[in-house]
Amino acid sequence: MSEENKNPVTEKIESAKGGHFYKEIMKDFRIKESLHGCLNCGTCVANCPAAAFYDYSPREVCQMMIEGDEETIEEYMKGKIWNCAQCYSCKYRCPKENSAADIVMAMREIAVREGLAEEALAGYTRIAKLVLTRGNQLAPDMLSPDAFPDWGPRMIELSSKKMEMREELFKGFPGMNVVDRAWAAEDYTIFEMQKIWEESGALEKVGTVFPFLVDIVQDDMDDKRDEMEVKINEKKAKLEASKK
Amino acid sequence: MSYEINDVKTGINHAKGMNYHVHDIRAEMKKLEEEGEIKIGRIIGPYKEEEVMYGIKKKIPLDMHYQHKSCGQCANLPGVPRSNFYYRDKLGIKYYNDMQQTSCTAWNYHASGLGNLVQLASVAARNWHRAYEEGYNFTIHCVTSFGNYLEMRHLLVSNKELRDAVKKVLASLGRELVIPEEIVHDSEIAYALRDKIFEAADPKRIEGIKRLRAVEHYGCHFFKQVSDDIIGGKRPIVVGGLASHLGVQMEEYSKWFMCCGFGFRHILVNREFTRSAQNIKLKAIKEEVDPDMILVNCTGCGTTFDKTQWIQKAVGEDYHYPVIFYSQLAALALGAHPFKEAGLDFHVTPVEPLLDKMGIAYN
Amino acid sequence: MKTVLVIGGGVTGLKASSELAEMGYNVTLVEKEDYLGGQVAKHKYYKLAPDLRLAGEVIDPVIKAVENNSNIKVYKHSHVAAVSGNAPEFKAKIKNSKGESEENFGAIVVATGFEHFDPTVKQEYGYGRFKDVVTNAEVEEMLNPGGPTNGELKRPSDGETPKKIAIFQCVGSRDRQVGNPYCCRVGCVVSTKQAIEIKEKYPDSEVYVYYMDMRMFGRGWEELYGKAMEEYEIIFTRGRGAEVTLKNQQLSLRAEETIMDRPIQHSVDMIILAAGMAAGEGTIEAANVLGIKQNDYGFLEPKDDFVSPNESSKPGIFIAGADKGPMDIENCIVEGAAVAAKVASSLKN
Repeated sequence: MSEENKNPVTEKIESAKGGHFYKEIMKDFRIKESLHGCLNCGTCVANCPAAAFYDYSPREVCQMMIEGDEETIEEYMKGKIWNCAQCYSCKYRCPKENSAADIVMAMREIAVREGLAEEALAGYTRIAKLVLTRGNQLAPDMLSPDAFPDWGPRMIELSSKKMEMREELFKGFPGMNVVDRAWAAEDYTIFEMQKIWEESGALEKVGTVFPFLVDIVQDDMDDKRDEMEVKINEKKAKLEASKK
Repeated sequence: MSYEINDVKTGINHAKGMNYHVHDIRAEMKKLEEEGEIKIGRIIGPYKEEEVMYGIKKKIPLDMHYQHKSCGQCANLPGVPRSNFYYRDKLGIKYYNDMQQTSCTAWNYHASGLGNLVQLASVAARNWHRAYEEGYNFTIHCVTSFGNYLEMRHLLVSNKELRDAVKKVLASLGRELVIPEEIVHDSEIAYALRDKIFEAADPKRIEGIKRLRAVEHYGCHFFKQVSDDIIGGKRPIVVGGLASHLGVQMEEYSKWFMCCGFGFRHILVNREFTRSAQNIKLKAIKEEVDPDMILVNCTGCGTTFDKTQWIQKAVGEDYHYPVIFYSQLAALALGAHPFKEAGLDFHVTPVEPLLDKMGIAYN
Repeated sequence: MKTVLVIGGGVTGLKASSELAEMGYNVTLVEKEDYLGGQVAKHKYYKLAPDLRLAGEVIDPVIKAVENNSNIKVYKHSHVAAVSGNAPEFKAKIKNSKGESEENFGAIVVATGFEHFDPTVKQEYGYGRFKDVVTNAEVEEMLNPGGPTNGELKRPSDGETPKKIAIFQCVGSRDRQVGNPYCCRVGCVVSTKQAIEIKEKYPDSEVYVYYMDMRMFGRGWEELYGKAMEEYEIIFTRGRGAEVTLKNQQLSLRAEETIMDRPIQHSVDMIILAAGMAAGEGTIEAANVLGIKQNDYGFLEPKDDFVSPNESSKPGIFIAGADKGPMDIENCIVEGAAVAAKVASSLKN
């Protein structure tokens, strides 16, 4: 759907209803594509793994957004949205092609921004740090046996000899045998990643939850910053030249 | 119950004269290119056309593969990227393992809501641009990345505001917005190469593979997040298609659709959910099929299925289904050492019984 | 007197043919199957809603009226391969196993009808994989004493009579996912009718209907719905059948009980899919051969839905019945008569 195509359902909703969270959510352009009216048929709920185990209903997510029901929205905003497994089963099967999963995603972003996600994000420091300082989300190091006792005894055995095993496996594949990140992304690459987070406003958002991470990122490249800026300027010049 | 992959092809037949609801992103991209809004990173070298929804043809590049690696696989199931490299080496396909690639950050995004769309789309576009400037076709190992890149392509094509914001970020890096002509998952490539893999396979290994019965599970972000751009139509067929081509007896279990329980955040902070979902999946697999292995194509599902079988003992169940990626199966068929080259020893659920059944030595 | 070509020997085409013949026109009726009666005959429809009268009572006289009229030439097992010319001078090539003939016609009526939606596309229902998931058309055949089970409702898997039966409404209808956002217009009443038939024959059985809305707008339909609840204790659950899986080797359905706001699982012996209507092969072929407009769903598009409902996008070519969109038998017969009148008046000018 092009941006010119207006969605009459959401258009109408936008103009008529109130509530702070509701208005914030409606600003996300994905909502237009995620709501096409709701038949209340329950297909989403029947297919939703989260609805099977939690007090969470993708149908309620669509309905509260159609109605602009601020009270329910707030309830979701303050906790229930974190139950969604982001599996998109609702979107895949909804006969109206609504996507509660996308609405929840928009809501999670806002929950973080508005400082409602502290509890939900406890335990995410390491991942956020890894993304911002290594360009990766995961590292073999993170899978320490004490963090995953339910993964069984073989996991403990594995973590004790993963270094040798990886060396064997990745013989002849430079950059693959590292344990503090998924692969040895270059410093310049990490710098680019940090720049993206900075320029897009995402770093500032990280700062609302993990303020110390912003300092870490800023310190991280300090000694190399000049060198990196030179590289970027070379790249910019090259791109300009290619355009001419 | 055993089934033929062809029976589940679910492309909606628009040859009937139906025009309703045909969404052709390729046409929209071409239009944007003509308007000078975006660049398209065209397929380089030979390709094979495979049908996706609405009868649209997707071009699967057969050579010059930029390997967009998966951080989850590299960290946790390193046998998978190794197998991806292995089958390419065996088939003489040129590939590029880039150390300037970043994670797609979609796992983090879906789990935590940290980051935003501009950031997510810029990270995607930066990786796309890496493949473009190196002169390779963009191919993806990870299902989370695959779903994310399909989504980012869709959002970038349909929303000018986002496009402009991303272009601005890219410009600050000396890069430009180049959307690949096709967003291709590695399992789609392996499927498109099934004849070649079979031809090049070790006959002894194929003999072993023919003894196996398997079920398949696809990542939700492979076919549910954006559901109209995968080979076969609405229901994916690539993993089972490749496996059955190599001789595996594919079996269906009735809970094939259900999410594995990974849940992005649940696997880290809420594993009761993961274990409960796994309990339902594994129970159905055992009761209805009791296969030799579970075939997967998704980083998250592979991890979840592999790591969550042991703990089911807590509810009195004893599961031991080796979790094998499509590419590990392909690598085994092509003669890979199960541990040193396919990395199956990184799996927590023991693979030894499977290797014994296949007649593959591992010590 | 001009000859009229009627394509399709279902209720609409039959009614149109006999009405035109009654008015004195010569009619050539082309039917692709080797029998007349269309979907009604193909799936051996047993009883019709809302009166539960035998389908034969309706369809037999319509067929007889055609067979007994010497003004009508019937080509079975044939199809129209090509058409040239313009109104009122058409030339059509009619092909069958015996050969090919070319005839001249003053007007053409397209009455190619619909086909039942193929539920294989809805992978979540397991149709084609779970033997005991059947379509409403298959149930019609079963309930017909002249059908494959001699009128008994039997589970295809083991030939037993099912005790718990669930009916899923809106299969392939009101569903953007399969490209059919429209309502099939008959599923609700047919399901209610079948539920009553089953309960009447097997009073011990339990019949559950999973629905979104019960659209009982036809003559006597709402009353039938009331009867189903009051006299037959059929249970209507508001929630669309979402998925069929197995539980302890028994069919198990998932839905949301949307009034109670909770997901439910329900083990049953048989599931009947109320498969909707889709444009049939014959309709698509006719549209291609004649070059007339289809709508987005593949059905034929009238020149104007209100003002000229039986005219196609081309002069001299007329359309009627379920090739225009979902329609019940009662209205198809009305359409057959209406198109006959329209053809007659156009040929007079």
